Amino acid sequence: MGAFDALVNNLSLGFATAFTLQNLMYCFFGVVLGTLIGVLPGIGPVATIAMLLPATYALPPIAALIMLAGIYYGAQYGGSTTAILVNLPGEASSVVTMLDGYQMARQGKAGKALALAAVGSFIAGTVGTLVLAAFAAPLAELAFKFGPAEYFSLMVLGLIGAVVLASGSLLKAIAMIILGLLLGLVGTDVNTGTSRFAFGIPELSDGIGFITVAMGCFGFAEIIVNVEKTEHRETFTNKVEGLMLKWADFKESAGAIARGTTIGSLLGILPGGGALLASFASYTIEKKVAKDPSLFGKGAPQGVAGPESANNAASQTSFIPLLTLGIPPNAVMALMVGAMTIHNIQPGPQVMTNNPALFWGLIASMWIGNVMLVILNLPMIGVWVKLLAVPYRLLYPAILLFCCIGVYSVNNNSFDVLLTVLFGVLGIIFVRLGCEPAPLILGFILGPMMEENLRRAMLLSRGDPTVFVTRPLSATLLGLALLLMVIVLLPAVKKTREVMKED
Amino acid sequence: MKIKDYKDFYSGLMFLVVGVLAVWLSQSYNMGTSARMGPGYFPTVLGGVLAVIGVVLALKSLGKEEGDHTIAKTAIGPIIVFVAMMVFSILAGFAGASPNMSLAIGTVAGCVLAYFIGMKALGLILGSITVFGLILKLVGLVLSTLMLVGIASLASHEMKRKEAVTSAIALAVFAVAVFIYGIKLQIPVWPDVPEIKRSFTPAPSKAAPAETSKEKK
Repeated sequence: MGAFDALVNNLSLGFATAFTLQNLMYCFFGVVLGTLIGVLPGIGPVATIAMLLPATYALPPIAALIMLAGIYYGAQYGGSTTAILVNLPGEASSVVTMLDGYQMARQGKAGKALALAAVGSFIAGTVGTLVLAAFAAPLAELAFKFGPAEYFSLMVLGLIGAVVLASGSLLKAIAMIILGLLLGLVGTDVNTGTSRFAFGIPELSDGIGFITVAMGCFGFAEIIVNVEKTEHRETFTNKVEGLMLKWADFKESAGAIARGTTIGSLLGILPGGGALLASFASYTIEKKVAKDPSLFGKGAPQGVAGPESANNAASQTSFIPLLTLGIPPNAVMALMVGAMTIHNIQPGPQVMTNNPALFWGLIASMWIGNVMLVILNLPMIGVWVKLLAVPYRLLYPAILLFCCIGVYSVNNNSFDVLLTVLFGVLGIIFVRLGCEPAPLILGFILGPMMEENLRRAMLLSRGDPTVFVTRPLSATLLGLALLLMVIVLLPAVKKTREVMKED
Repeated sequence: MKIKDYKDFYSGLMFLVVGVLAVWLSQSYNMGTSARMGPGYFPTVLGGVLAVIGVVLALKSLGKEEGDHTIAKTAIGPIIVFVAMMVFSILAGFAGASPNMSLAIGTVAGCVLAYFIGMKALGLILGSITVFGLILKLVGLVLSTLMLVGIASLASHEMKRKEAVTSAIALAVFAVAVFIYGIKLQIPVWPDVPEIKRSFTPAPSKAAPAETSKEKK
């Protein structure tokens, strides 16, 4: 049982780190702020993290990461609350919660829906954290065997995974990734010092900031879209009761929570997976196993409990590829990479060996964050509900202001603020043309890493491109990527994807 | 031959243009060999692939019957605005404005254009951000916040004047409390008179390097 002992040791180190007053406090701040912003309609975790990132600059690295993780869970949690009460998803993964959650609210069962979401998320979060702790060490071992060729292939797999598992047109998603990769190359080339696509502008020599891109494409574009459409929504803000779950309620959804947790934990590890895919998959499965599938879409509690558990489990386990391999599997994790680099931490297997306190402290605080969310959200739901009652016309100028200050404070530079305007217009164009911006962000973060590993691999093989298929690990990874592509192009799978898109 | 899917058709054209631009711009960087890749290698390959995808996407969107144009049509406006922003920025850069000023001129022009060609919300919201970015260093957080909230509020149909003024003042107070006293960001709070004077006197030292580097290209 050596592995188990090691796990216990690591986790106790983690809890020792996380249980300092300071770190607990930042975890709490993160969770509160994340929920506060995440609950605002139309703002998902990506925009929330981008917005709140500046608040962590002044902190020591571990406190900053703990706070960011708290922001992430809080944002996701807040998004579910909005989906249930206002029928306005802050992000794609809440769309699923909305289907039955909002219907439950309309039937006066908003409290039950919120409580199920909270309990399910907590159980899933606990399991997800354990999975993360158990898998991190062996995967990091594996990562040390990786050469540049393997890293390149892994990134290809990750990018293909992101494309394949996302909904929408394959070709467009690939194009968006390449666009992101190209944007990521702007600035000084590390190998030769040549300045690329910077046009002699000093502000561009360090490259375009990832917050600039994320804020423009996600934040500003989203706000413009929301302001343009002024339809009225029915908000259930004064009928939240029945937050205490009865044993029968819990029993009814226990199966859904268990299945959601399992699916979410598995899908979160996959490159390109994460919350969105997990909640879709869970919803589909719940509908399949249900005694009466016709109840789904009309307020089935399993339709809330399952996907909510799945997306929370997946948001935990999607830290695995990031922390062990240094490769972000989705847009949120791509932002975490950016945040880590600001604090001079290069994500990857070396974090665990060089800085175990940080690594395990982060994992432990994820669980603590989940506990706080449950404690915080059930009694404090009234506060968030009040916030939802604030009309959007008063909210969006405030959101804009925080975004602008956030972008400005990255480099204390107004050039970045002006640049977000360009990306805001781009974001609108993408929305109108049905091009998803998430793959673009992923490509943007991976661009320089990919080029670097490609160059190194080719240098080591003296220009022989077969190195990617002759090294067994690299060949396996590329094979997997190919397999994913083939699966997705199969007629049966293609159909389901289109159905998912319709929903 | 008719266009079956306008969204895909326009996206295809967009990717084609960007891809070709990337390949073209990369030609001024050293390509190197596949064993020793120069800075031009990767972007050239990416640009090439992007252009090919663009062509495939555009061709695939053609078909026998005419598709729905309503949503895709709304993308044309923003595309025009984006191109206008780029063109104005580049022109300003050639005319000798500093990079910051060029981008500001471009974005302001684009936002004004957007406002007058029927995209009020886009023009006002992005315009408010532009103004904020432009004046923050000069006039400080308080006045910039008032401007940002004031302009952005105009974008909503439901906004009442009194409400907008109240929220602008409240947000300015809040911003100073949280960002200046709370997390201690390095942002000026009030107008910085010497800085304003400096920015209104022509600064040849600033403009000159931007111009020479442009000529090199």
